[in-house]
Amino acid sequence: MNKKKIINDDSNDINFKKLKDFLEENIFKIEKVLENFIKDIILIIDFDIFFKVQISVKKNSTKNLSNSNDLSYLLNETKDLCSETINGKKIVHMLIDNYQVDKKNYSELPKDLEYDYLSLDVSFICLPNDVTKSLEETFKSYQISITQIISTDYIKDFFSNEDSDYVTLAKKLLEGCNQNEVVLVKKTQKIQGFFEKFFHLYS
Amino acid sequence: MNDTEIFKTFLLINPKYFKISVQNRSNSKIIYEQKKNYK
Repeated sequence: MNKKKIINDDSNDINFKKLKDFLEENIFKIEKVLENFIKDIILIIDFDIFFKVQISVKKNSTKNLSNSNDLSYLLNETKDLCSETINGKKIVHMLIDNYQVDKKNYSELPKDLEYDYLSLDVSFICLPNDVTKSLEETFKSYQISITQIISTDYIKDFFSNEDSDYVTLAKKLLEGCNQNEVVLVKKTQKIQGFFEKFFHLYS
Repeated sequence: MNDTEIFKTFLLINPKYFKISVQNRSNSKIIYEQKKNYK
């Protein structure tokens, strides 16, 4: 069997052979239409290949920190914890499910709230390494990098009442319509971008 | 078109089909779209 093994008729596995054929048929056509190269791509994956990790963290307020500093600290800590737990597998979505402030639950963090105790329930939607690697290799041969991977399960959960197609809904998520999704950016990019969207809560 | 930043490329990978959609970043106009069933 091929090393990339996810080539079979199982509907839970991406058919990379067919994917390559599809890209072969379309990438050059697109580049001709654009009169330019495609450098990056956003993948929307509708397969049951993601797994979820849920972590709760808490912090006592140091009083002299703002809510956003406390939250940044907690989110960083949670992401590091998750990365250690999943041992390098790819985190594709980081979602804050619940904020607990002095034992009260909130779906969004209340603004300008003084508190002694903050706790977060955070979900991570992750992708196994073999899938991530195979996808990256597939697109690398076209000099295309994957900028984002979006799970359709997450799209369905968030837009449970909307009837639009996945691409339209994925675009809405990328535009920041979920205030509780933390945008993850590569460490090589500027650090202040890490929780960029999150800070919009305070603007 | 000279600036690659003016479009976004989406690829939907589904158990039954692939769909690629290239859209103008500013007005979401579809520049290219192709869907193919493979099952």
